[in-house]
Amino acid sequence: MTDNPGTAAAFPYDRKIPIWERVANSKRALAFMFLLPTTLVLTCVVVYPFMFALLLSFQDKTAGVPGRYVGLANYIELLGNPEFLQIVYNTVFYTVVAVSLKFLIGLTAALVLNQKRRFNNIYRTILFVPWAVPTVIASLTWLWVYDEFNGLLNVLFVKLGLVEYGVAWLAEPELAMWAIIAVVVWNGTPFYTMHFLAGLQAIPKEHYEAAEIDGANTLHKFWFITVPSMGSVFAITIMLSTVFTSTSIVVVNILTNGAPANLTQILPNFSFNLAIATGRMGLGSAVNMVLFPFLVVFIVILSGRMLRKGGD
Amino acid sequence: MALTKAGSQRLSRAIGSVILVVLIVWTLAPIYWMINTSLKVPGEIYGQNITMWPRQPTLENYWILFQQTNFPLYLRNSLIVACATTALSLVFASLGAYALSRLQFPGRKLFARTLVYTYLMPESLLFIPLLIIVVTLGLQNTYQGLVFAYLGFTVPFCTWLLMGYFVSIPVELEEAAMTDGCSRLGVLFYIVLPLTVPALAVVAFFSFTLSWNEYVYAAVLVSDVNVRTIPTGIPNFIVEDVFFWGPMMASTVISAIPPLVVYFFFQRYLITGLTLGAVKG
Amino acid sequence: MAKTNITRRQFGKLSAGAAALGFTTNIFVPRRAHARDAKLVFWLQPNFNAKADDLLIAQTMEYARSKGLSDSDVSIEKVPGGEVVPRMAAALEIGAPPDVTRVNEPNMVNWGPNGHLVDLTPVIEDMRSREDGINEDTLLMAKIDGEILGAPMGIAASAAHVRIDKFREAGYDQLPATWEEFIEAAKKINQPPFYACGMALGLTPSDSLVDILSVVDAYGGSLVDGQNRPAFESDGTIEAFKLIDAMYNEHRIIPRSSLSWDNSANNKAYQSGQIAYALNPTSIYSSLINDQSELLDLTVLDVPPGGPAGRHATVSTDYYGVFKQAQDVDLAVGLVAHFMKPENYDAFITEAGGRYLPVYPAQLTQPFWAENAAFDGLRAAARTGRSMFYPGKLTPALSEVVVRTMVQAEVQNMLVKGKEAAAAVADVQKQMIETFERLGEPV
Repeated sequence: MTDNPGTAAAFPYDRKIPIWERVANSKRALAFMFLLPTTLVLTCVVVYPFMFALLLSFQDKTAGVPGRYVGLANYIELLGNPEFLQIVYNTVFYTVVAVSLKFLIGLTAALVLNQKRRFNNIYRTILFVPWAVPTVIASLTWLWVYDEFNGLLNVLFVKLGLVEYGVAWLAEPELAMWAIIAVVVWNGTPFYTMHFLAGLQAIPKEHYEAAEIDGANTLHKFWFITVPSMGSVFAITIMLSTVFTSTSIVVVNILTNGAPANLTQILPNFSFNLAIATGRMGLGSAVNMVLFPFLVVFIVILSGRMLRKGGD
Repeated sequence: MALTKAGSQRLSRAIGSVILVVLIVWTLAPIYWMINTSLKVPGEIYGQNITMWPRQPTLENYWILFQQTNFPLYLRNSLIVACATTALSLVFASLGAYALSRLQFPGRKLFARTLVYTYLMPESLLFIPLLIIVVTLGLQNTYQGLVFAYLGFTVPFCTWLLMGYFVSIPVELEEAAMTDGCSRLGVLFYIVLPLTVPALAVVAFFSFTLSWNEYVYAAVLVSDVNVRTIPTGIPNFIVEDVFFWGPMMASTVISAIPPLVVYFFFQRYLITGLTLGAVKG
Repeated sequence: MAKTNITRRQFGKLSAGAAALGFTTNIFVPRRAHARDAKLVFWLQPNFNAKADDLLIAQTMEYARSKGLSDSDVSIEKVPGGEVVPRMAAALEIGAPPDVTRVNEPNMVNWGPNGHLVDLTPVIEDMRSREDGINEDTLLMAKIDGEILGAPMGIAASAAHVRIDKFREAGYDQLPATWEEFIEAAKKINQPPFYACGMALGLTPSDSLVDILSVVDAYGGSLVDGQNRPAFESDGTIEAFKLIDAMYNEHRIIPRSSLSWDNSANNKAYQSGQIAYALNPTSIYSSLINDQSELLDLTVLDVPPGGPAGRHATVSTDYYGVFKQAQDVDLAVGLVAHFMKPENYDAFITEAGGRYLPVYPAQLTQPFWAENAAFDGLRAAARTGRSMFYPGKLTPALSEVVVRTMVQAEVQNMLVKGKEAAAAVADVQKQMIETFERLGEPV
């Protein structure tokens, strides 16, 4: 295909390009088409409910009854609640610790699974199991594991002579939040493991070989090749996982419902209890909105680098 | 005295193996407990002396599951919904991820970020407006309605996962193909996707598992037993304040199997070697 | 760079593919009938045993057929108790609640005043026509604005489940009559991991509130006064809180994990033989029977210990309610009347095995009730039983107090964070007042 405007009308360039070809070749139009299915689904399934919830936070509303707008009253009520600050702190602590642990354990697991070993596919499948189990079930199982009388943990500890009789993992103030975090980490680590494993596979072996020739040892290779190459994988996983972790209600709901003394209460549960159990949908929605700005900033920061790379 | 390359490799393998054992024990302990409980009679579940292995093992709980509850029906429904969601997620997400990572258009960054913002609202709050929409579209109690709702859940994050991989593919490959007369769609299909098979595998696993395990929407949007999925069957084992642990654990054990089977057979796609060798030379 | 050309063939392939995808999905995924197509929709909330559920289903179908409906006109959905509140919230929002379902007291408070339920006075009149009529106390919660919005279908009594063998070992041949005596006995019985007192103290509405209030009540405290105004702050309540603190922290006769118990945990603990006392609806007893537990013979039902202000058990009533948005209100009301016909009702209550006490006093003379020794304690509990909210009754504000576990939260603050009993009680009172004021109820 040459680019010679000087020649006569016989060339294909002079033909009128039909509309659909023009559309198909325009980047914007193409982008529009490619994103159309996603946009359609999201508008119905997310955008509308989202707006609904946002507006709810400014209303005083019970289910089945039309709401009335009360401006910032819900938010003011929240700030006046002495437990609220404790709940916010809990949420931040829990999210940061859980995500960090999932990251570390997930990365370790991915590195280990990346090594050559027989039966690797069996090991990988085993480590995937916690993700295959619905969080509801995982929580119910761990409820039993933590049981003061018959739980696996206490049975083991007593048999091993570590304690005289069962410990109340979910009710002791110092232990409760860690018990919750353990379940969240157990359930969510495979997300990281799998993602990191796929990312590790994408790093070309040549990079490692070149480094070895230059005299790098395992640590060097990890730090200077693996980590930088995994940059966007890390960023995306942490970003998504933080959002999922900080908005999940199941584990706390089933294991402690906030006990002891609200030490394990986190924002999404508080929101759910208010909106659905108590029926104060407006207030529940407002609770949800509180974390919003922080998460948005977090998302913008983490997605910044990755988004800049994209596009032509 | 530095370790030889082989020595260093062996050491890291050994450390790796120890870590692997620890991880496996930690992962499997609750699972063992689940299986253990599912094989016990109620008397033993609540027994005064807790047994590490059932003294009177029984398949009664599994029997109850298949004979007295709608579990087989739920199993079928879960399979249909999960497969449909996975297939559609892959398609939507691939198209979307390609557009967001390769095509320049106004609002690109905003659109990409909005995808993530959609998760800031937990499903525990969204389910009411979602129900309103689904009913308005006449999709209540249908597979389509559920798949539709799940897509809203899986597509944003599948798109993001794929975006992360797409940007790591060198543009030169695509440009070369386009100079040879390939269309954008062709590039996506013939060049980008094959190189990101591990990412596609991850996306497929996650979509499948997410729709397999999702509870809130399934419980609210579908009440017809012919369309209900497995997680919604769980509350049936909880009556007021009585938990029927035996059948509940049995249902868990069985419902964990399909995702594991899917994973076991398709995980080799996670480990392809045909990555970026194409760029050299 | 030269412009790329997308050929017609490729474009055609793309559209064909999209269309194929659309069509195939449709072929393999048939549409199902909307539940709302049914003429009669009943949300069956499962009871403890399947036989009672099956009986209700049979009665429903029997009624439907008698009205000329075909089987497919009736939709009976099994809705587990835990799902009722969220699903009803969603259903009310879209204007599609069921026709008939069971309504407990908190439900009545939520759905009644908002005008969702149908007046069932005619059904009540029919019920009253039975010999000895009905237990009029059960109508208390359902009488709203001069209408009766629910047909009482069962009295749920919380009974103390007692390991009489353990108490006998300590020298007591029955459950001590007061909390102080109970603590004395408990100290002798207590031997971790076996705990004497399985008092629920978790942040889940229900069991823990009943447990706490049973102590509060024994010392004369109550949530509200006779005019339904917050009255939690009183010497009696503070005394009760101090006692609970002593039981948990000083004498350690309550399992440590009680703070994180949900409603099933005390069941689990009792059935595992780890506690000697559990205050609960008779679900524990039913489970012991179903599981053929060896603890069955060692268990006695009784009224919980009392104190200076008396000794009472807690009872609540469950109702059948009909929603105004039912397709055919008369049909739905008829179903409720059918359930409450003496022969149908008696069969159900017997099948439910102690879960409910009958609302017809006449039924209590039947062999099932009169000849079962274990039910003596239950009947005593029902006789002395009063609502948790005595001397007031459940209102929307009080319901919020209950659901938000305000009392339990302050008890936990006292137990875990060392808050003074008086301060904890005062804070409950303060929160109650705030809630009552916000909802426009008198303080």
